[in-house]
Amino acid sequence: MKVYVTGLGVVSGIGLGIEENMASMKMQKHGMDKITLFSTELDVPVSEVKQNNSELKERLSLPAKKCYSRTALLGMLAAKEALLDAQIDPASSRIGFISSTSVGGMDLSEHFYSQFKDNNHRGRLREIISHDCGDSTEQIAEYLGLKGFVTTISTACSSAANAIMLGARLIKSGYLDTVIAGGTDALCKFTLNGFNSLMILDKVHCRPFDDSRAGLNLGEGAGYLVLQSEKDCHKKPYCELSGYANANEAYHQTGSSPEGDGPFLSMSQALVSSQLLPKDIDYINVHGTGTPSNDFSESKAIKRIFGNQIPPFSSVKAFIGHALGASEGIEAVYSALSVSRGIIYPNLNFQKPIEGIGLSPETTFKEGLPIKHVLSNSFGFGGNNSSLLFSTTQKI
Amino acid sequence: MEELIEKLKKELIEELNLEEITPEEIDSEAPLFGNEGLGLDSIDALEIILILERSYGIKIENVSEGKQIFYSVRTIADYITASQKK
Amino acid sequence: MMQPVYINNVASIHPESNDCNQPYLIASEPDYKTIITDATLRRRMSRIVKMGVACGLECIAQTAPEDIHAIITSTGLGCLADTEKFMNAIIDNKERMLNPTAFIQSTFNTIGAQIALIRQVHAYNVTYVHRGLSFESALLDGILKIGEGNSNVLVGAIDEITPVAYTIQKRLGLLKGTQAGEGAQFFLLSSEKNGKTLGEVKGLETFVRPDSIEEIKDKILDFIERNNLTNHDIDWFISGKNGNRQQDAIYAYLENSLFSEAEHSTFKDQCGEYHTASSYALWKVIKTFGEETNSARYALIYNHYQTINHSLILIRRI
Repeated sequence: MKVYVTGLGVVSGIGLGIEENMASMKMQKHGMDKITLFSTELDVPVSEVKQNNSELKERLSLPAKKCYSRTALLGMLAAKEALLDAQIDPASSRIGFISSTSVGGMDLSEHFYSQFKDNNHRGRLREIISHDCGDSTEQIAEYLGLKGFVTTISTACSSAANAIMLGARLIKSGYLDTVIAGGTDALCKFTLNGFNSLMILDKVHCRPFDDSRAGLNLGEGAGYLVLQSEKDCHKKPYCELSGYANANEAYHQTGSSPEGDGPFLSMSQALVSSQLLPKDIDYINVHGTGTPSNDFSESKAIKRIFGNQIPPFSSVKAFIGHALGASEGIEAVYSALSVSRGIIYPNLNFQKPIEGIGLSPETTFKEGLPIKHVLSNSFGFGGNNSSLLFSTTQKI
Repeated sequence: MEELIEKLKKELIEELNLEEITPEEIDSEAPLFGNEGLGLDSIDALEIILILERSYGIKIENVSEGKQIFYSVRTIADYITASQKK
Repeated sequence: MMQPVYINNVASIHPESNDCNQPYLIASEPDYKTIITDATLRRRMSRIVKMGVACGLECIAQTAPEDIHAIITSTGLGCLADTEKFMNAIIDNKERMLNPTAFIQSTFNTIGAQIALIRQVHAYNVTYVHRGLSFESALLDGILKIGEGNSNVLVGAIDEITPVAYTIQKRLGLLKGTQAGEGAQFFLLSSEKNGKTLGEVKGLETFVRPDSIEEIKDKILDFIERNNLTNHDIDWFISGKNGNRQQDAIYAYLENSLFSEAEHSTFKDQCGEYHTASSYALWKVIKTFGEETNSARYALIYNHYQTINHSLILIRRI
């Protein structure tokens, strides 16, 4: 059974909705700037969605005085776009919603905790009630009127890929007919400090796959796909979700193996699952965070699989930052559009290939190319490596 | 110097939560990282950077800088002594 | 469910006594040194991580890493102590000189990841964090995995209670008449029976926010019928009674109606109330099947969390 992508929705530091995101990509307009969402001692570039919570609530026609986590608000916006795009009726019990997040409602919890810490009678309860990961998922489902199966996945940076994978498997097993799957994450002080304590943040604009790269920039946003079985499609799909894989590197809690074993496993297994060969891949949306470790090991794995025939590839993280639990949700949307519109995205800030690796990503925006198969990677802490494959529905 | 080395060993045991290891069991010259010696990893490197900043006021800007300094307890002690002379 | 899903091994770390000095039930923990032998990893682990990792390792102790085809974990609130520790550090140290260990250990997938790391399992690894349906989501994924042709799948659930979490839950009114708890359980699901198989997962169903007791009753009957059984075939009914009279009303109703002929049991008086408590119920069923003091053929676990998340797990004795 084939699984098709029939709806897309995205919110990121470079735009609200598909067309704004694509326009920014075309103009090479990135979303990196100073932090405005909360006060912090840390001075690093981040890619914030350019809407504060009040503005988001207004867009969503939600009551201004009601408390929502930013993660939920970003997710509602993106999931709504996807649902409308796919033209489906949300009320069926055969429609599922699988969302992923790494921070959940932490943007509110950390505010609650700052008051609760010294006096446990203080802190507004409405700020702690959204703490858990499941909250944003439930809020989004309720907002969209979804009544079927709903769950939340949290596996750090590969979360949304795993959500999309589960969606496809639920359709193939006959459990559901349609699944909205993806992820959402908002920037928060906890995560910013977490990554800072790991010394993997770049103090300036990140440079994925460049020899001088020094770390990642965090981002936020949300991205969702609508997946449907062949028989349930009533509009022309963007593409097919033709393959996927999840493998655990089991090398270290946060570091990557120097030979790229984890990425090698997930990419090769994704190819096997789709019965494609390396030479069939027209473009790779790499994980490409800009950390010395990730880009080196991902490069190694790409060379191991593709040998001398490396397809065009690029990282979009210098545009949108690393949106963690949302990153593969956003990048899956970009990958689907890559197949549908023949787009290759530019990898910003690239000047010199990594020493000892010698790979050069694409640096200009291109569209209208004959792109048939796109591979998209996302690798998370805990050795969680996931890869998705998107393929054209046109007869080849 | 020996006093500094002893202090460092105690700090490493405490901060890195090295259960069941006593300062006497740590060889000052042995490699701290990798499969020999204490078998510390990249997360421990970050914690040693914190020890240097908190206890000795020495700031290390990036992890790769730390790799050479943290070879053994002796090299860390040498680095601290050299930095404090400046 | 076309492909049978057997439970070939179980492990649990859970409260074993009700210490009246504590306002919540606390798990009785083993000596971790003998189970998590890697001191380098163990030294960084907080309590919940040790509980989850030790429990998972026990469950797959007799299985070769290459024979484990998935590690699927679940938790409602994750590693609370590590989260609190890092949040305290951010505030106390004004975002300077923060130790990364608590942050890394606070990630929701850390337990599944560390089990894979210790046993070198490179297979599918995923974590579900969805309130009172976290464990059921993991179990569903495990069932899908078996249906997709995988032989051995490790499925687990872990949650902890801390003084801070207890205070917050109390303030939120979530503990009226009931006691908070914690625990870790792991199950080795398999497509094949072996000499140790004690039960088969025959059915799993979840639903949210039902409108009435009638709706719940209909859903339960429908679920049982889809498994080619009637309510009279359920010999053992295990309910999620937690001591809150309002929340327990549905269980009492079912015990007196659909399942009046069955043996009735509860589990939250042993493990406490928390998001993944239903995994303790499943452990209890399998353990009891193994003790042969119970002659039930079919056991049905029905649980809800705060009347919002509802689940049904049907187990057949082997």
